[in-house]
Amino acid sequence: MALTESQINHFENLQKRFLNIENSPRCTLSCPICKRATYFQLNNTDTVPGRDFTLEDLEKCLKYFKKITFCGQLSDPIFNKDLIEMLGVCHRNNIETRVNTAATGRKKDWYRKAFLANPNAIWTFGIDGPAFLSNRYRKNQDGEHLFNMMLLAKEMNIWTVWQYIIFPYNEEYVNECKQFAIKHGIYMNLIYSQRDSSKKI
Amino acid sequence: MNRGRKERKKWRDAKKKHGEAIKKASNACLSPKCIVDEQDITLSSRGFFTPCCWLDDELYWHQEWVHKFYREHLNITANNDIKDIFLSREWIDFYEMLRNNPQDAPPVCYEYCGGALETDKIIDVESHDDVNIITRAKH
Repeated sequence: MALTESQINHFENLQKRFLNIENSPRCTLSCPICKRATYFQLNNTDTVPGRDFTLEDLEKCLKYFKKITFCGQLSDPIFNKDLIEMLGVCHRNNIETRVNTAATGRKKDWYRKAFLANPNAIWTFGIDGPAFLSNRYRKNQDGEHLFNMMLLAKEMNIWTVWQYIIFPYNEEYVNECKQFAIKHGIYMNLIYSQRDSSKKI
Repeated sequence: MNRGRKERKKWRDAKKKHGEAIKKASNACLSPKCIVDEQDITLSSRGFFTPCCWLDDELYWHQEWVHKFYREHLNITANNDIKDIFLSREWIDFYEMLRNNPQDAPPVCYEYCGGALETDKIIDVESHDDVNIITRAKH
């Protein structure tokens, strides 16, 4: 059936946007104000529904979308077993690619392979304050390791962004961390969040 | 009804009420970021696409319009060509509603896109050689 002009416009408008893919239901963190934590609380469970996104799924998406973000709403993208291959596929297809991560559980060699697989991908690391303090909100995060992986990304010429959510407990370190980011050539996103940290952190 | 279900209903009702209050306060003025801004489309690990990540939250799944995105025939596994999903009645009708009858939009749309367009407010931008430090207040 032929599409109408309005259907074509509708679809073309959608295609121009980034597609944000949640590529697995897993995360090692327990950030208290994450939707994942709410899901656990309201469903009396320790898992969220979902399955691993596959290379076949990615192929379907890349037929139409040229801008992809791997970012979990309830998970972290590093836990999909095929993420490195997916990054490679995106690179070979000239897909504008972003990875947003805060979890830990992958070794240095895994990150090295991931950065090599797609040197054009923009990586954003969620580290709230100096590495030793970040797990105050990012429960279970190995902040030192993730911080080192962020530096590794920069060393490997990856476009690297440090996302730092400002809470009362880490506010005093903002300037120090800014200076560090400037020294190492790392972009920084400082965020005053709406997260109400007063009760849970 | 067990305790978990009661609690879930309480949260969902509270979210709905919140969205409805914003709708009332804004005189049903809506600036959907999925149309007027560059909001990412979301694909959940359950295999469903939604126009934004806010709709991919169990606290809103039950709301009018939103639940339609979670029909089995719209799952990525049910479609060899995902174009069929975006050209489905559900997706077309949703966008037509946002454009032509925004007063019918679900409360979640008003919660995040009610009133004039509001995005993250940039408080400060510092440029240092090849690095930018951007400070923003999350909307």
